[in-house]
Amino acid sequence: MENTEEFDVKPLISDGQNKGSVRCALCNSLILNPGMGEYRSEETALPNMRKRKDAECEEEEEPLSDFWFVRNVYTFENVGISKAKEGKKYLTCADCEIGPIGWCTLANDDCYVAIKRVKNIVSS
Amino acid sequence: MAKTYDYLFKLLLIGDSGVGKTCVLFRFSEDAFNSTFISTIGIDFKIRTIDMDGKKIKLQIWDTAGQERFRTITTAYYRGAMGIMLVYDITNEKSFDNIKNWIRNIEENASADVEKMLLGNKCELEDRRAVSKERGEQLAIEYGIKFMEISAKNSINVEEAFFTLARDIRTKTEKKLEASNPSKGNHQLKATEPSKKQPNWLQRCSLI
Ligand SMILES: Nc1nc2c(ncn2[C@@H]2O[C@H](COP(=O)(O)OP(=O)(O)O)[C@@H](O)[C@H]2O)c(=O)[nH]1
Ligand SMILES: [Mg+2]
Ligand SMILES: [Zn+2]
Repeated sequence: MENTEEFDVKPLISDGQNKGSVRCALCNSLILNPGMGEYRSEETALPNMRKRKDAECEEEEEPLSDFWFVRNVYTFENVGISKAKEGKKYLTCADCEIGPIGWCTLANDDCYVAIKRVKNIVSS
Repeated sequence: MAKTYDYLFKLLLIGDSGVGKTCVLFRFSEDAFNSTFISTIGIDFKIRTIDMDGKKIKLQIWDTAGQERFRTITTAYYRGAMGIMLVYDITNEKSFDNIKNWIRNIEENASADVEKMLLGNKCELEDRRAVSKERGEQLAIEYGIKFMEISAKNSINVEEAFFTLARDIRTKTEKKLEASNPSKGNHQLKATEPSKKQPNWLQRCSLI
């Protein structure tokens, strides 16, 4: 899931918003309807989606730069919000609980979905 | 941004520690995902959207942070809750007996008209059953609430239970709206689009 190859977000955006629906890359659960997220380009590192079972090692993070900004948690169709850790909460798929697929503030308002970590359905 | 739903209901899961509340809300996972970052820190709540007769209902479902172990569930946790799932474990008599204590706790801390439902979890463990289905039904009748046996492990009746509770809250809410606004009777049904503005109760209840 954490592929590092360049990927182009432009085809996913229309009017600055997500053109298609956003679904879980693993189980296809509907996360966000079209047009409900605003494209934001900013650098944020998120913990990896999978952690090695022999988790003696430090948690690894992946730098990410493309996000759908969502103004509050109620905008999502289905999502899980983690408990707080170091001033942040993390977003997960509500069905299979894979994550973090993004993060949100402690007040559950500003949410950022990592575009690379979800499936963006754009029918041409 | 336009409102994208008709109703938002805050729901809680209450019951003794170990009855399976966390598993009811979260995926019953014994597999590879146990090792992820997320399962280490735990989930606070989930947003679920369901469609009910063409209305879009958002459910915000909260898990406890384990406070039930110390019976320290307080007013803060109950604030704004519109529905509560009272959960016991059908293989654990004590958890069933404690339901009445939880109901008392709810009466002391939650809003008086919160909708409640009784759930007997782990119903797939028939050979270890300690509480008969009839006793569950009887207790529910006593409190005038609905009852279901569920299994978080085998996904039996879990979605149905949430749907049932949501439907009952919706019915109650619509009745209340009608009562407080009798002019919006049947003749108003002609209105083309449902109002995009949040009704007052929603503004009040979503201050979470
Ligand atoms: N057999 C069975 N075990 C369950 C079920 N739901 C939860 N459990 C188990 O019960 C234990 C307690 O579950 P948990 O969700 O942590 O309970 P909580 O303390 O109420 O949140 C765990 O070992 C779960 O695996 C179920 O439907 N069937
Ligand atoms: Mg728990
Ligand atoms: Zn998923």
